[in-house]
Parts: sequence; structure tokens; C-alpha cells
Amino acid sequence: MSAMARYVVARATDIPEGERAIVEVAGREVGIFHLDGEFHALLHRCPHLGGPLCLGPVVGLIESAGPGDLRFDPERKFLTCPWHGWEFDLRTGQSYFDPQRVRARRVPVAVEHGQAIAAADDDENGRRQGPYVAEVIPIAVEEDYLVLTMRR
Amino acid sequence: MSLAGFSGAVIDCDVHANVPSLETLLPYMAPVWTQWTRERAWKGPLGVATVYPPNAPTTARAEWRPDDGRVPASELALLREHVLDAGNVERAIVNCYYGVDSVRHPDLGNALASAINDWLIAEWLDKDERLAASLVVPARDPNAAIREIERVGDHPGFVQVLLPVRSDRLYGSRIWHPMYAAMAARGLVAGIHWGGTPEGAPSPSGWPSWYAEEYAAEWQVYMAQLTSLIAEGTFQAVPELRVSFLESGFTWVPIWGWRMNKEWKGLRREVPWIDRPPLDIVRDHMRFSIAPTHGGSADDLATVLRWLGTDELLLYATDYPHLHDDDLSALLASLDEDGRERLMAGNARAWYRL
Amino acid sequence: MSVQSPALGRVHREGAERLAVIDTDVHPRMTPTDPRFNPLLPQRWRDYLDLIGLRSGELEAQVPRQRPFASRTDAMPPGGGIPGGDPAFAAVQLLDAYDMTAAMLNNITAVSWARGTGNHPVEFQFALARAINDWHHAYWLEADPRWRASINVPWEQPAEAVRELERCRGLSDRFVQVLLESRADEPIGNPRYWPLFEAAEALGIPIAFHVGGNRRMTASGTPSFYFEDHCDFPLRNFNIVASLIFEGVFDRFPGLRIAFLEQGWSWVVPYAWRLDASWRALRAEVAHLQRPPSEYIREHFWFSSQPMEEPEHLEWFVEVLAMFEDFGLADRLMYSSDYPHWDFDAPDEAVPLTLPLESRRRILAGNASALYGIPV
Repeated sequence: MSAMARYVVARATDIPEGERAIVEVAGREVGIFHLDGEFHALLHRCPHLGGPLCLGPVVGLIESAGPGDLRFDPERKFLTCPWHGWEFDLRTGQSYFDPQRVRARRVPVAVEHGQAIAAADDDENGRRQGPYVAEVIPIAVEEDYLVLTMRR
Repeated sequence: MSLAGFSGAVIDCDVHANVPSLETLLPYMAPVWTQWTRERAWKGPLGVATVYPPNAPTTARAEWRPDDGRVPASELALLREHVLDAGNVERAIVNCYYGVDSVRHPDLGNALASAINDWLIAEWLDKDERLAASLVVPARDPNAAIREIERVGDHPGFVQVLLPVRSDRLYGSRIWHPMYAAMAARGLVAGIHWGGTPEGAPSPSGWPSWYAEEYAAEWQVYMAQLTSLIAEGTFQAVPELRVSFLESGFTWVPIWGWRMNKEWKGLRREVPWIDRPPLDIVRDHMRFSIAPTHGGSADDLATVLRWLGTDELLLYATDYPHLHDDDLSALLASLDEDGRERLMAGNARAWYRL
Repeated sequence: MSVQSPALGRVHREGAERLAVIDTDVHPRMTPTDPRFNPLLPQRWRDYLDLIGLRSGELEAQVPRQRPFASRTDAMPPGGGIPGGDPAFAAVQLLDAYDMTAAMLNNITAVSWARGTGNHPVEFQFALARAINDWHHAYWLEADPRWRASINVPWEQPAEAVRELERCRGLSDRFVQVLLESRADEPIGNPRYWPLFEAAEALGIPIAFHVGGNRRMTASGTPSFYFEDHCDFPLRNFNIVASLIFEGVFDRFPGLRIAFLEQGWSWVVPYAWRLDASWRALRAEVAHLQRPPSEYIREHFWFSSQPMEEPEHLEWFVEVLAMFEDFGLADRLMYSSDYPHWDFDAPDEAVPLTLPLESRRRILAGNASALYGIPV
């Protein structure tokens, strides 16, 4: 059973509102989305046939009670796979067509202040510094960083 | 008629009543039509001979062609002799395909449809309590179809409305939804059946040369209708609607259903009224007669049935008087005892509420 | 911080052995005003394009695809243009990403330009067919030895189609197939198309059918939705197969080989049962036929894999393939991606890893290698 680790992957300001980024962490790729003031992260791999999920269009929800009825909710955001178009709730990763059994892998993402990161002992907290590592770019204590929690 | 050793109750979901001649129907039509047809020496719609060439082996089995030259399946006496009294037939559903859809004159088409239904009542339904029937409608015109459904659809013998599988508008189209509502309100099943005369070629690619070629490829007409019914949300619009596919075969249904399921998962937003996997909708709202089966071995059929996911979808039928090169024993062998009972009667009894 | 651009594929490995991959269905695409394509047309037809343009008779154009250009949203070439329009980018995103030995170019947007009758002047269609094939030759085949190409021909004008077929084979022996849309004005077995079969048989190259755009979509009218249209792709198969068989095409051309591309394959065995039953019942009508239909199917047909079947329970895939292979078709299923379309199948994902190694080896490359003469 592999342990979970936390990875600093970006400054919060690197991903403006409405944008996304794909980062490579611990041998996997993760897409991070900044929407409506929140960050969401999903494994960059569609559970259907392995497509590059996080490159897909983000759309609002369309539902219907019957032919002729089209209900559009732009506030409910779904990531659609750029290949076969499967819809995944951006916040939960659940597929639209079978939310209980089919989902994209959600990756917990937190915003943490640089001061807290710099003050922590890496080994005790199990926190690893990812692509933004101290030796490449120093952690600035006054900034916010995006931290992913993933298996090592 | 061999039932491959099956000795339980039988409901035959597709037997034909062939109109012997136009003269049979004229008494059921307004007098103007007697003059109209005589003036033109018009003998009846051409559509039937196109889809059932009279002398083709598939149009009637040799043992079901009367020696005295009567049109096969044209009388109740023949149906009793060949089907009803020949086996343990509890009920039979009579379908009359007379090519009414090939008639362009709207009043003549309406009159013919009504006459066929009145003839079915008088000469078939009222004379043998084992019989149920499909009513015939002017299938080019949804409004005319609704009027005929309203006129005779409450007769207790009518359990279904016959729709020829070839049409000018796919049967899922919204123009048909009010017609389906009229059916569902009366508990009538929509029976999609061999036949029809669309405007263009009966295929995506021209007119087949050989009847055998056309006969074999006819699956594609049924498949397009099934996809349309699903895609247009017909069963969301009319939740009580049931649809039977008659003379369609069924070995294609699982793979067709898997394809619809696969595409729906990614294309759902275009057809958001489809609220669950299409193959589940097929299971809830559709049934398929087994004449023809056109199956492989009993093992092959058992595999197909397992892929269908339920033994409730199939309806036994002879398709009297037609011939299909089928082996009922292989189909029976691929089912367990309960499955055989359902196939031969139970599914039909539940589906048609007999 | 940059967004990952072409998705990285994985080289297919099985223990220490790398399985070769041949992709039998890739779609190059250009617009008629593309600066590399347009000059390949005679001036007269370039002027015609400016004046009148390409008036599409395709019904499919009236039913919008779910994605722009019906393509993966990650397939836009970074240098500009449309998915399938940049040979270098396609080589990176497909051939390199999956370490492919070879891939077959089937230009289906152009297939209806080239058909030979209807909505365009006939000579214009001939010129388009030549220009399409010249574009493939100059910018794809010459640029990368891994590409193979099918030949676009005006099939409704078989004499010209034969001329174009022979011209392209003279240009390159990496033109390895004739491409037809899976509908013609008449059922394809009709004797008027036989000159094309004769030429293909003589050259030893297959005739391929692929879904494209055309003028009639079903026997009973036009679907309303792309979902419906997409599910309906396999409808055309039944008329093609019945026509080729019952018209006696394979008795007349015993060396002819037929490829079905993007037309499915799980329908084949149930349809073979039906064809044989139909033949047994109506044999008197088609007494010219020398053998049961199923034998012709075993001898003359190949099938590309995409869109890969997804049975309701994934463990049934093995049974579906077994039914197909046990029928005598084990050397007939060929992996295809459909790149750059949205319903793309990657070789390392779409061909289930649960299949026996030998099945995967055949499907991923072996069967296509034999059909097209591509060494692996």
C-alpha cells in the first residue's frame, strides 16, 4: 500500500481564473482547473480508453425531460474528454451517464501559503516539492501555492 | 407444422390474413370506390407484390399454398387448418399487409385501410375467439392514422397497429409522436412489419437487383427505425408505448444496442432526453418476433440470447404463410424450460396483455 | 508552466517483445483552398472553385458533428490549419506517439468530391480526384515512408476510375488500396462497377468501403441527430455484402479483396447466418451463385477495428472476437485508430490486453501486413 504524498506543483497565480494547466507529478499527469474561485484537479487520463482527459472542453450541463425540452445550466461545469466526449463533473470527477460507477480520478488540490510550506519539515509532513522545487525556484513565503495529494 | 417437439401453450404473434382480391374489400367501402376502381380496371395496390413476390418460395411454404388456387392465407378456414388447429395454439395475432401505404390517393388509402380493418373484424376477429389482430392505418399520414386508430382502435380484438418498416419519415420523428400517443392511450402496440414503399430506394445505396439480395439486406431498414425511435426520445415522449419488430430477426439486437450505448455515453448532450443506456430502453419498450430467426447453431443462439440479457424479448411466430429457413429446435435448445415457455407464449401474453 | 500538447502514447510492450502496430484508418484532410492543394488543380477548376465552390450534396453536412471537423479536440495542428491537415504533426501525434510501422491514409472528406456524378461538373470531379491523390503523394507519402494511401477515384464513372487507379500505382507502390464511400448510386455489385473490380484484382490491391458523406442515409429518410447517424454507420454494410455476393462478383473476380473501414465487424457472423438462410430459401432465384454466401465472406473480406466494440460486459469482448475468429476470420480484423476523429482508438487501449498475445499480434499488425504487403 503506497503512502500518500503532497506535492507543490505551481503558484496559485500561475493558473488564472478560467484557465487550466497540466502538470507532471510522480510519473503521472494531472490537470488543474481554476473555476469560480476554486481549484479542481483530475488525473489527466480518461477512464474510458486512456485519452488526454484534461485537454477537453469544459461545458455547462444540458438535461432534458423529453424531446423538445433542453435545459441548460452554465453553472454546472463538466469536463468532456477530447476524444469520445464522456462528461465528468469537474468538482467530483463523476461521469454524467453513470455517476456511481464511472468517474475520472479526482486529485485533492489545496492552496497553501508559502510561509507554511517553508516552515514545514518535509519528512515529518511527507510533503515533497514537485516541479516547483526549492532548488529551481525558491518558495516565496508571501505567495500561495497549489499542493496536490497523491500516491508516491 | 412442426413445433420441434414443444408441447406447451403457443401464441403465434405473426400470422397473415391476405386479402383475396379487391372485390373482398369493396363491400366495406363507400359505393363510389366500386365505380372508381372499375373505371380504371384497378386491381389493388402494387406494393405487396414488390415485397412479397407471389411465387417466391419465401412468400408461401409449399404446404401452405392451397391446391385449388386460392390465395395463400386468405381465409380463416386455411389459418385454422394450417396453424390454429394444427398445434396447441392458444392465440394468434393476425397481420394484414396489403400495401395500403403504396396508395397515393389519400381518400382511396383511407378507404382501403378502413375496409381492411372492418373485414378483419367481420371475417376473422368475430369468427374465432383465438384471434387478435393489428389494425391497418394509412401509414403515410400520421393524422389519417390517428383517425383510424380512433375509429376502430377500441375493438377488443385489436392489440396492435401495423406500420410497414419502410417509410418516408423515420418512425422516431416527432411527426409520429401524436400517433403513438393515440396508440398508447388505447393499449395498442406499434408493430413495425415487413413492407412499405418509400419515395426513394429502400436502402442507403440504390435498388437491389435480386430479391434474395434485398431480402437478406432488409435488416438495415429495421435497424434505422430502431435507432430513430431511441434517438428521438419517443419513449420519453410516450412512456407507455410498446413497439414490436416483426419479420426483423433479432440476432443483430445486442450488437446494435452496444453500439448505441457506446455512442450515447459521449454524444448524450445532443440527445439529452435519452436518460439511460439505449439497450435498456430496448429491453423495456421493444420485442422481436422470431420469424425469421436466421441463427446459427444452438450454441450460437444461446450466446446471442445471453448478450440480449433477458429471455423476455422474443415472441414466437410462424409468420404464416411465409417461409424462412429456420430451425426452431435450435432456438428451443438454446433456452431453458422457463425460457421456452416464455418464448412460445408467456412473453406474448404479457406484452400484448392477452 | 505549459500545457502538455500532443498526448503521449505508450509504446506497446508485451514482456520483452514489442508488438508492431499498423494503423489501417487515418484521415488526412484539406480544404480545397489549402495553399498546397489548390495549385494541384488546373486553373480552370481553381477559377470554378472561386466562382461556384464545392456545393455539397451530402446529407451528412446537414447534421452537425459533435466536434469541429468531427475530430479530437487535441488534434489541432500547432502550426495552424485543420485536424489531419498537417502531415508532420500527424506523424508526431500518431506515428511517433504509438511507434507505428505504417498507417493507411483514407481521405473520406474528399471521397465525395471525387465520386464522379452529382453536384459538381464531372470533369471537375475527375480533376479533384487527381489533385487529392497528388496531394497525398507529394505531402504525405514522399514525406514519411511509414504512410500508405488509398486512391480516391470517381467510382460512378468506372472507366475514369480505372485510369486514375493505374496512374496512382504508377506514381508509387505505396498507394495500396482503392477507396469508395460505402454508398454508391447503385448497389456496388451492379455490373456497371465491374471494370473497377477487374482493375483492382489485376493490380492485386483491395477495394475499401468507408463511411463518408453521401446523398441518402437510410431507406426511410434522414436521421435528425449525429448520435443517430453515427449509430447508423453499419447500415450500409448489409447492402454492400448482399450485392457483391448475389451479383456474383466473387465468382467473376475470385482474386478480389474487400476491406470494410469504420463499418464495424461484430455484425459479420450473424449476417453470414442470415445470408446463408436467405440463399437456401431463394436459391432458385440466384442459381448463378456457385457457393454459399458465407464462403465468400470467409474468402474476400477484411475489417478495420475502430470503433472498437464495447459489449455491455467487457468480459464478453473475448466471446465476440471468438465468434468472429472461429467463423474463419482470424486473419481479417485489423487495428485502426480513425485519427484524428473524436472516436479515436489508441492501439494500447482499444485492443484489450486480456486477449491472447497471438490475437493482438494479428490485430495490431499481422493481418494488415498480409493484406497490404507491409513488412513488420
